[in-house]
Amino acid sequence: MDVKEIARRLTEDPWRGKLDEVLEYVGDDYVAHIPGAPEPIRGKEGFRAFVTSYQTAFPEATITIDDQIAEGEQVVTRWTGRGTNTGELLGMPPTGKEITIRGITYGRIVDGKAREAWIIWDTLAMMQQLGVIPETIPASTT
Amino acid sequence: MVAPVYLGAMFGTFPQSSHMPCAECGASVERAAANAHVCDRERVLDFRLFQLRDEIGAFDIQLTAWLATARGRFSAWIAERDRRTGEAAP
Repeated sequence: MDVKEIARRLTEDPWRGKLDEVLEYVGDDYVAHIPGAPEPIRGKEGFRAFVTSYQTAFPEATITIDDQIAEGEQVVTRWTGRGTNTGELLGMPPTGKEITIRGITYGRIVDGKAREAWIIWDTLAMMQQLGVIPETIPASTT
Repeated sequence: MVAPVYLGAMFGTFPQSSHMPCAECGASVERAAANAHVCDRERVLDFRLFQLRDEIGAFDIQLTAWLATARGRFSAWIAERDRRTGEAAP
């Protein structure tokens, strides 16, 4: 299986009820770097906990892949996530609002397993859509 | 405040999400298509029920408590009497 397909499964399949299945493609030494996170995500259980936290907040969400490129062990996946916030997220009560966000995952896959990833998504847009932060800031407050 | 002025000069405007949830039904709507959006009625209902979930969840508890009061017991007695005589309130 090529790295693009492994990356596709790790990106889309957890949101199709296949979280346990895709852990086969997560290395025990997996490390995922997420901007703003106090610690990297580590290993299969870290991956599971990370995905589960967002599935709790967006139980019926989907992630679809928009594009992928790969070279050797590296694969870049551009994706769009869509879901309705009906569960608690990062301590915030659910809003009932549907959000659409885009992100990019840069992954390193060796011997059929993901070893390292850098996951970046439009957190600002997510917070704006949930109503946590304002959509705009006045041009001038003077 | 200085920062928003610089941001405006650099980006033209504060970064905005390409999609925003509709205020009436909560559906994710692309900004460019916002004027053409028409709410699905069932979705509006689901969205409003979700916003009222705490009140809805508390209703049974509150109703039970009220029925245990003197006024509540009397109202229940009146309703049962009217039901038996076929004179239920409109």
